[in-house]
Amino acid sequence: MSLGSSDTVENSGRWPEGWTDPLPRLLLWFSASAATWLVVGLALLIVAGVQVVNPAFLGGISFLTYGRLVPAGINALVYGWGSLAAVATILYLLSRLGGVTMPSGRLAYCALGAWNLALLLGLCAILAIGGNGLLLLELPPFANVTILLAYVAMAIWGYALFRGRRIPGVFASSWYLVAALLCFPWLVVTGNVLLVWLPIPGPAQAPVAAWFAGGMLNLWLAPVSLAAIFYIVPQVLGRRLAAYNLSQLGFWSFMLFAAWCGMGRMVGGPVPAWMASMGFVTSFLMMIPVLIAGVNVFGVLKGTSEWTLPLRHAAAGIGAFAGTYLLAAILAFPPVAGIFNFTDIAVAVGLLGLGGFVTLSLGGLIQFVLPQFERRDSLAEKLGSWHLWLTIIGVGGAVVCLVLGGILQGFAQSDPGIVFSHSVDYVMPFRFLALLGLLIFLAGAICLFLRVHRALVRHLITPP
Amino acid sequence: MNRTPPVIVGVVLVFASAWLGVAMYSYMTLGYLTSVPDKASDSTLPPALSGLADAGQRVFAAEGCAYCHTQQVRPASISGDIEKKLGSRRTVARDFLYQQPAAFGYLRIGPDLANYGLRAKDEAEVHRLLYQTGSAMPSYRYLYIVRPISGQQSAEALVGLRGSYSPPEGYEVVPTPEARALAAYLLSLKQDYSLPEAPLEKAK
Amino acid sequence: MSDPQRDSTSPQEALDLVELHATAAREPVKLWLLGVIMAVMFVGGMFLWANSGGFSSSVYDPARLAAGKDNGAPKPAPDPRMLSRRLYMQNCGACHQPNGMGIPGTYPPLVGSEWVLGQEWHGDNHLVRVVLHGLQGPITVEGRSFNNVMTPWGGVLKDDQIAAILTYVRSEWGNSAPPISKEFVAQVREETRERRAAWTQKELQEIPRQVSPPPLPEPTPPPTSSPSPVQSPPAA
Repeated sequence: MSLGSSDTVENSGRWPEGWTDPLPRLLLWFSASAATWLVVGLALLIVAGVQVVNPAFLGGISFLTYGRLVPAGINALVYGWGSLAAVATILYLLSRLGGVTMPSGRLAYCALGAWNLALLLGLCAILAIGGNGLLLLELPPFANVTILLAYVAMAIWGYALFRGRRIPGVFASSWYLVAALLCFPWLVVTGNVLLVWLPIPGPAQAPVAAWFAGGMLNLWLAPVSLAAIFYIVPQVLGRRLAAYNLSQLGFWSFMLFAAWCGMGRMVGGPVPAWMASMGFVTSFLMMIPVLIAGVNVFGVLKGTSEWTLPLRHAAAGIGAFAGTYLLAAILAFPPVAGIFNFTDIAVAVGLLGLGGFVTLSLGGLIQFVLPQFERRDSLAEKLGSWHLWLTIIGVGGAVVCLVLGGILQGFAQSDPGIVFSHSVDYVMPFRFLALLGLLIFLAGAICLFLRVHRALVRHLITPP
Repeated sequence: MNRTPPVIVGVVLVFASAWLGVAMYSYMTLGYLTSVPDKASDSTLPPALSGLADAGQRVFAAEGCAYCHTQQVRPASISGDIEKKLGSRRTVARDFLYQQPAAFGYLRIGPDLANYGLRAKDEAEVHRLLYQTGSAMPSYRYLYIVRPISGQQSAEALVGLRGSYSPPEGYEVVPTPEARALAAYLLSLKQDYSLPEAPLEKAK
Repeated sequence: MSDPQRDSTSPQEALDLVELHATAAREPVKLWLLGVIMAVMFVGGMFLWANSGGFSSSVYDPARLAAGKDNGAPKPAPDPRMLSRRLYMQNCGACHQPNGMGIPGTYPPLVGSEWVLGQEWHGDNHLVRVVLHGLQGPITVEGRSFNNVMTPWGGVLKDDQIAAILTYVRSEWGNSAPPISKEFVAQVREETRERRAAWTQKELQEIPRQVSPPPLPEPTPPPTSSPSPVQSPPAA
């Protein structure tokens, strides 16, 4: 690797002669795209949510029915918001943790453009002609191929940054970043090939589909989010993580169990017994990395008074991380799954993972880097903290409502004496409140959108 | 000094274990499941889908029905599905033999459909539900055509529509080919036979 | 209180961060924590093992036996009594009837028969001879006389099959008499090697009564060979 290898160690804080570090600017552009997709995705899901509460809303319009809005919204959140923010995070953090940078961001900007265009067209295709019913694989093949190629163009830089790093140690964040870097293409290729392009027979599809959909969070967005948290906390505090000697154990246990725990959704489902058991056991064992990550972060946060915005993001993010996997483990316990697996609690797990854990962690990193681009006024600060608090209140409130409603729904749907439509009536007030929570979350997302775009505009009109 | 290989090799091994264990294993075992002979009907189980129903499952997928409807009955040991008469046995992988894609579903925002074909009265009822819903389901009006009656009313025109859904005088509502296919698919959803790995159970 | 707008623009800070943690990573891990983690993993592993259904792709409910897995899987050992019953039904049931009552006036009953149970002058050796070489009427069974012919079975059935059938008829339908061992059948067959004709009641009455020694304690291997008379070659 030629990246900075000519530099001496004394020089390790600076870039090679003549290089300007393109990464902060790259992160700004990526964040702008990602924040836009966050707003778009949430808006689509909220329209879908209104239809759950009131089925007549926008009724009978083909491209605005629930069954098309939901895949469009989820894909916008995962491939637009989560994945773009994750790619930027990977590049930025690997550069920082390795003491190297890229000579130019041109390829990454091209990839970003292609990614955005493919996603936009793909979402339009979903709305116009419908998806294929496979969660997170609904985008038409051209979109998925483009996204994959764009990813590879950037992942090569990510790998180069990692290989070219100039310091001997490897920080825990780097492991998570490299793991995510490897897992995303493998997952996407496997899912698309086995389920869409050369579909395997129906009986084999359920486990693969559940594993793929789980993997997009567990093996792709979650490791990057954890890396962001582990980076932000010691950076802000200037202290090292507590119990860092456990971090290797935490990383490997996380990877091992996260690789399987997507099967936890199939407990009681049409998969052989061992797969369902594996899903539950690994979901349960996820408590080990959750505990270690919690000890790592909260041990150093204890008694701190320097509560900056990124630090609050990280703390809330690690809380959402623990909550997501705790809820998922409970939900995968077979007797619990038998009652609650198909209720709104499962929605709550996804919302807490994607809306809470991923959004707060990656949003935290974006807001950690953003100040260098913006005028340091109170509006930027306000937008930032509104984003944090509205997200926490919105996601938290929606999750609580969904869990409570889901408990009611689960019992009602298991009771032979209650007809299905009544179980829907019982849960409706909770869904309504959860929808309000989503609206608050959307308001928080708009704050992030405004803050990032404000910085972007300022950056564009005032060249450095 | 350069610790690249251990991390990358380890991650690849860990990922490969799950990839082999879930994706490849499913493909090599469940992917090679075949239908089983059935003496009673002198055919094979699960029953093959008719051509119309086969087209209907693509409509089912495109309209995103699987986001609200599962097609899996869970065993009586952990859930009340069988007691609730959603089916007379658990759903197993072989039930999806002719499904492409397998619409197993993650959520029950709407009721389970694994045995909808046994519950539905007739095709007219399915069309009525899709058109005017009457439940928490959105209307799939756009899968139907409202057209003036020319001569005699069409045999497949929807009857019993209420309120704003009933067509104006002199008009009729007829299903598009997509709606007909979707209804055929929904009516084909029956798991009322025994499979070797999942014999029928009795509701208590 | 540090600068709330502090950011990470300096790469040097990130590098310090890595070095700061490099030493921390080498601190020993607390043993009790490792113990707890091992215990949790052990519990998880035990659960998985107990609920894996043998990691078979056709087992959905581990509680239920591997249904539908009948190809290649070893079957449970067949019940020897069921095999004996099948041998009886195939070879004897046509005349003596599945219920062992025979046909009045034509075929004598086996239920409560002194011939079968070894009562009065009848010994186990007489019973085995009858089966080996057949019987020519007239005979008396339970006080009634029959005049018919029983075909010889010595060329068709093997020793263990004859022993199994006789043991079965002596313990079925309310009969209860000790079993006949295959060694005893072999012994009688050896003693009567020269015999070709069917026995008569008169001939048998002249032979002293013998009783089969109880079968060896080893689990009598069920007659696994095909019970079909056609396929069993006569002893060369």
